[in-house]
Amino acid sequence: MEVVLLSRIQFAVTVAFHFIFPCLSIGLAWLNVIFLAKYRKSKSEDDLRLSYFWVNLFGITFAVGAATGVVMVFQFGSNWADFTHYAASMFVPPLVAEATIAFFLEATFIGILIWGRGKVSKALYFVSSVMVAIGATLSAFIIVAVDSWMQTPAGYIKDAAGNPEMLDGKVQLDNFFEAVFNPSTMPRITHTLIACLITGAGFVLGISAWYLLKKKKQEFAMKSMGVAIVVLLVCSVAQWVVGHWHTLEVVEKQPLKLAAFEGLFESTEEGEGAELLIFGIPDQEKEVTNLKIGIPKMLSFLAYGDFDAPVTGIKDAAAEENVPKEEWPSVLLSFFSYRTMMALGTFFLLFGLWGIFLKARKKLQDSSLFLRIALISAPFGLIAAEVGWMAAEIGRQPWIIQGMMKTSDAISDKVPAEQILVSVLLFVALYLILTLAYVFLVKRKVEEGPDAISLTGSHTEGRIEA
Amino acid sequence: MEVTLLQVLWFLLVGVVMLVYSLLGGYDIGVGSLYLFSSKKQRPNMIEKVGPFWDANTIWLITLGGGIAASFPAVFAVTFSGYYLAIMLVLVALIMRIVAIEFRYQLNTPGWSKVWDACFGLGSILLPVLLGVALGNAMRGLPLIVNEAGYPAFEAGKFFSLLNPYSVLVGVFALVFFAWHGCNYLNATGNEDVRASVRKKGPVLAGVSLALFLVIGIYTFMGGQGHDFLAGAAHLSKNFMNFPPLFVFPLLAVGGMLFYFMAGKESKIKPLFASIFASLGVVGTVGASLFPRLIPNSMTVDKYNPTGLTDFTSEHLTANITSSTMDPTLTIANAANTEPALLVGLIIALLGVVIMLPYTIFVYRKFLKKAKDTSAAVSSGASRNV
Repeated sequence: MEVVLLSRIQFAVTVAFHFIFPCLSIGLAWLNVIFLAKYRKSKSEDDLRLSYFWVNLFGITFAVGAATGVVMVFQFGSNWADFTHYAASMFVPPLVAEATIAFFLEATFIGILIWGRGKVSKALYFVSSVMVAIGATLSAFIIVAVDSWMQTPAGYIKDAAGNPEMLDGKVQLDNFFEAVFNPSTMPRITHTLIACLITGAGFVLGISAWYLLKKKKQEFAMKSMGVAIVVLLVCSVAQWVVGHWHTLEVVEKQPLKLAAFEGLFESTEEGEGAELLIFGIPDQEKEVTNLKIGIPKMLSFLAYGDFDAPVTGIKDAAAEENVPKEEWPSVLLSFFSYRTMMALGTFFLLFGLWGIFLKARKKLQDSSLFLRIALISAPFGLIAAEVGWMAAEIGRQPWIIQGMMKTSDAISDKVPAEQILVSVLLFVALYLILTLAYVFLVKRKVEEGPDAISLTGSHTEGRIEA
Repeated sequence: MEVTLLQVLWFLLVGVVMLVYSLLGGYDIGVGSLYLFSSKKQRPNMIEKVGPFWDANTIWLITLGGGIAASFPAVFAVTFSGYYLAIMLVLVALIMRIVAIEFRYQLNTPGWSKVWDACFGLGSILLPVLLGVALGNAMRGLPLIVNEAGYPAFEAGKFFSLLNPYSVLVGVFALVFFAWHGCNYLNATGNEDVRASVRKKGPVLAGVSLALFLVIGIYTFMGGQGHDFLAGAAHLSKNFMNFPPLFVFPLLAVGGMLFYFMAGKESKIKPLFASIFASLGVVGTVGASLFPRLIPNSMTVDKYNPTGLTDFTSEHLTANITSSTMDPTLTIANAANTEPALLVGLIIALLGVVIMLPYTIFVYRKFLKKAKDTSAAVSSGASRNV
């Protein structure tokens, strides 16, 4: 049991930390494309400098993401050996595609983006930024497809009863495309990519706001902010539509998870209508949600388009999946992480509208309240993405593969708990150091500003004798 | 259980990926391990020669891990969980050196430089040693059992038992060999100052590599086998004895290292070819000695005597692990993924290579072509490159 808990903690720590960087860098990768495209049109040196500035911050972010990403691949073997034995035929072929098709595209062209300034033509530099963005997006697509397969498995050989037909303790691949495009892949990847764009836009917006508040590099900051605010608003609107689509898929495929999101312990009857909670404190022990504030019948309507539709509660959904009470997902964590994500989604929509309104009246730089909120909210996109993932991954417990394999059966049971404890502490320490170094470096690079960027060479130039 | 064509193809493919990683990741790591032993004036040029490529090079390591997981998932699960702490250290070393490459020259303060220099240099020294120790242990054999769930595993309890003399020798060999290969890469691509320096280090590293390779060879054949701390890996000699043409691989490795001493001092490219051929020889030697096994069982290695390449149908080699009462030996048959997964994985891998090769070569040419006239490119400025 200790090994299970420690392995889960380690996975949570390593994935939560890793996810910060690809989430931000995928968003920045597409913003780089926009900034460079604007430069291709204007050919102005200021626009080139602006692009290089954001590309440099992107490069710093990407490096940490790439480095910490290797951990995720290796952990399948080191911490989740029995999961690998059990499901390798299903989840590994997509990972091979991720490495050979997506990672290489991204990794090869990022070399040009970061080290090729002044060494390649501007056209090739632009093409590289597109390649990097495509590679990053494809990488995200495949890893999210693998996670989706674990949530809504498909494409494996079934026996007469609909259970997986095993061969030597292995699930057998039947249809690769069914496995990759399983029922939750498309809503989940769309939802995730939009979250990445919101995160990238929020980051650019926050840093630009800092310059405007300090009355430094205002022209540069206004240009960056003008692009970021449009991306932020468009994505925030789209996210409500896509988020709803994704939730409908959860309603259908993972009723236990939905009930955990909503803190709904008891099923509601036909005609009763389930309320949508704005707030509440779920008490898992007593199977009741206290201090409820909600909109009557709204959950039934959102989930089924019918105010009177019955919604399955945790108790019935768990019984349906043969999950005993001690294995229920943490309702408190699912409920609050889901609600935090929703609150931030609301914030981004309102904030984006405000920003566009100010932009239209050409008053973006004048509203110090807007700028201060932009600065504070720079990491909100990340927080929303992180709590969204938490909700998705905690809510689906106790399953590592929905309905097929429990998390507690997926571990490396021959690894002593002490060793996992050592590695957890090791990663916590390492990641704290990396966080400090990353934040310090970004802060310094922002203080140095776009003027410190060399237009003719890579960032090693002029730093030879340090 | 029969050995299938797909299993053999995957064995070859994993070997090819291991070779590519030892060539690309090898120079990358090698440059890093030389870094702290180079003057501060040489270091920026060294970083510039790995900067554009470290990412793709590291993806080859992920591809190696992913390829093993795709083809022989039992090997991936058993070794990565069994080597637990060693794998965690591999990850730490990898993270530190990668972040260092991108962070080091972003700021100019002395403290910042010192920290990331140390991370890059030490990470690049620790990484090949750990990878070598892991490979050495796998070749020597691991104490495999079947766990409660019916899957092969081994007790990860004794971290220090991984540090047996045989495996440590393999680890040191990996360090020295990659450093030598890194020298040859810098000799081909670096500036004059860097080239002069690596031309001094190269012969020493080549000599030590050769000596270590021969010592490991003798240790493998003469050192006995089994689970003793001091044991070598005599079971690996069987394939060579049964099918002597396989000696071409170790001979190629030795030949490559000797060729280095014959290559002209001024040649940029010949020394690099020497270490490329030597790498082919070394990886080939590993594959030839193991086939068709992947992880021998150190506790039972004495009890069976595979008669080599013709032993495909031997019950012990292909016995179904989960239903076997014997302590398992992992082979390309019983550790393999299901056939459809092997086929899909192979198609994807080949497709990936076909897509990747053109742009990889294109980008290397861009950087290495410009490397010859960096000064011209910088002085002419970016405006002319529009």
